[in-house]
Amino acid sequence: MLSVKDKNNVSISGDGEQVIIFAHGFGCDQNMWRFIAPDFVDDYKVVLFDYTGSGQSTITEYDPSKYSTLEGYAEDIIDICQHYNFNDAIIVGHSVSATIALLASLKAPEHFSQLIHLTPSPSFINDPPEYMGGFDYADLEELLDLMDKNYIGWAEYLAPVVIGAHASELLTGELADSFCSTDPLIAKNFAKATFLSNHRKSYPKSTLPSLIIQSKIDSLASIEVGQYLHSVTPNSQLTIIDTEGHCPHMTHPSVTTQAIKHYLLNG
Amino acid sequence: MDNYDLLPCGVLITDSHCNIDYCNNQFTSATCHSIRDIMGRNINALLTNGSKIFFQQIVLPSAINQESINEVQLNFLDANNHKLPLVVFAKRDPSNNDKLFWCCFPAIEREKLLNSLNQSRNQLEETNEQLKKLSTIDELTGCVNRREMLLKLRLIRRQMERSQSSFSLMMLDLDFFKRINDNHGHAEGDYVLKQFARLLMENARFDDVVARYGGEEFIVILPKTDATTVMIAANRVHENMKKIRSKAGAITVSIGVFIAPYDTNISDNEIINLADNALYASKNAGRNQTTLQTTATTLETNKKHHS
Repeated sequence: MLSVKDKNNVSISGDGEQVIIFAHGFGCDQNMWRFIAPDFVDDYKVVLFDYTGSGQSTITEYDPSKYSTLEGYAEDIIDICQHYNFNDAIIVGHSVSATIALLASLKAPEHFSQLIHLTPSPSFINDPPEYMGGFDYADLEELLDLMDKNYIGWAEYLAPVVIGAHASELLTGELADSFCSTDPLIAKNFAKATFLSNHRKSYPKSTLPSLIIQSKIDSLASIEVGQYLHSVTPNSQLTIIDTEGHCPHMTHPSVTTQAIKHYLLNG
Repeated sequence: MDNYDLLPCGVLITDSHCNIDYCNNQFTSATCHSIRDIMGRNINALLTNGSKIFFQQIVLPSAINQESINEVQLNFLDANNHKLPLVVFAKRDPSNNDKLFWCCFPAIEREKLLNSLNQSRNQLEETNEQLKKLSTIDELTGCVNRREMLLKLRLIRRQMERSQSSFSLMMLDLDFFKRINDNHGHAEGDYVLKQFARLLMENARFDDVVARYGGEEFIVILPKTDATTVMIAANRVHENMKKIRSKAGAITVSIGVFIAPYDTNISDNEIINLADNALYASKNAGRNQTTLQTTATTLETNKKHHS
C-alpha cells in the first residue's frame, strides 16, 4: 500500500514542536513556499506537500471524480494529518488552498488549531450586488480555453486519466521534474474545481481562529473579497499587506512571513 | 529607433514584478498602445481577465522559480480592447536585479491551429465515448455486455482483495424462455428480456454490475455481499418477476450464486462456472429458485451430483 508520504510527496523539516502546514494553490506545487518556509524551521515543524496530481505526487493515485471538487483535495490534507497524528496544526493555505484547508478543518477539526488564508477567495465569480469575485463566467471559460492551448493534450495521453480505475496499470510515466509542469487534464480539472466553485457558504461555518492576508493590489482576489471574507468568517482577522500580485509568498516573501508570524505570536 | 525596434517580435523589459521599463515599437504597433500608455504599467494590466489568472497563478510563479518561461500563450488586450493572442518567452537576469526580458510573438495563426486541434480532440473524445458505449453495452437490453462484465469482474476482485470483503456472482436464467420465442415470436422474447434487464438494473446498487451474459442468461456481480445479503437480493428478483408483462403469462427465473471469499485463488472463469453450476442445481430442482454455492469444494460434490 502506498504511503501518504509518497502519495503527496510530504516533506517535514524543522526543530519546533508546533506543526505548520503550507498548502500550495492551483497551478504549481510545494516549491511555491521555498522563499518563506525556511523562516519557520527554527520554531516550527514545517510540513510541505503536493496535492495528488500536482508536483511530485503519485499521479497514479489521481482519481478524476474525487479531485473534481475541493472536498477531494481536502481529503489529501486530512490523510496527511491522520497519518502523522497532527492534532493542533496551523495550516497556511494559498488562494484556493485557503478554502481547501477550511473544508478540511470543517470535516476533521481535531487536526487543526489555526487557519491562515493567504490571498483567499471563496468564489471567483461575480454575483452582484452582494459579491464581486472579480470574474464573469466568460472570463473563466477563457481561462479554461487558454489552458487547453498551453497544455495540448491528445486523446491517448488523456485516456488513462479518463478511465480512472485502470489508470494505475496504464499510466506509468511521471510528470516531468520541473516547476508547474502538469498533466493537461489534471490541471483543467483542478482549474474547474477552483474557479467554477462557490464556497461562500463554507466560511461562515469556520470554527477555528483564522487570519486572512490580502495583497493590496491583486487582480485575482481583491481587498473587497478579503473584507467580505472577514465579515462572514467568525473569529477572523484581516491583514492587508503592501504587496502587488496574487502570490506574495513568492514576490514579497519577507512581508508575507512577517504578517504570518505577527499573527501567530500576537494572535 | 534602437536596435530592439529591428527585432521581428515585441520586446518588453520589466522589473522582477513585471512592471514595464522598456517596450519596443513592434510591441506598441501590435497592441496599438502608445509608449506612454505602457511604460510603468504591469504586464498583468494589459491582459484579458482569463489570462490574468493564468499569468498570476502559473506564468509569474514560474518566472520567479526558474530562469525562463518558454512558449506560453497569453491573450493581451489592445488599445481598442480587442483580444490579441501572443506567444510569450521570458528570461530572468539574476545579475541585473532579476529584470525580466520578454519576447512576444503574434499567435493569431497559432490560435487558429490550436482551435482546430482542440476541436478535433474534443470530437475524438466524443467519438471514443460513443464507441466505448457501443463496445461495452448490450444493445437490446442496455446492460453491460459479456466482455465488459469480465473486465469489471477483474477490477472488483482486486478491490475486494484490498478491502478484504467477499463478493457474489449471480447467474440468472429465465425459465422456459425458448417457449416464449417459439410460441409468441422473437419480438415478444426481446420484450421480456428488456423488461427483465430493466428490473435488474433498477434494483442494482451503484457498484453492482448487471450484464447480459448471452441469450436469456444474465450475470449480476454484487461487491461486498455475503450469503445473507445476496439472498435478500435474489429473493427480491424472484418477487419482482411478477412485474414482467408477457403474452406468455407469468415468467420466472432460476438463479445460481457463488459467494467468493476475497482471498480465493480460483480463476474468473471458475467463479462463473461455479455460479453456473449452482444455476443448474436450481433448474434441476424445479426452477424458480436460487441455489447458493459458498465454497469451491461444495461445488465439486455438486458437479459429481449433476454429471
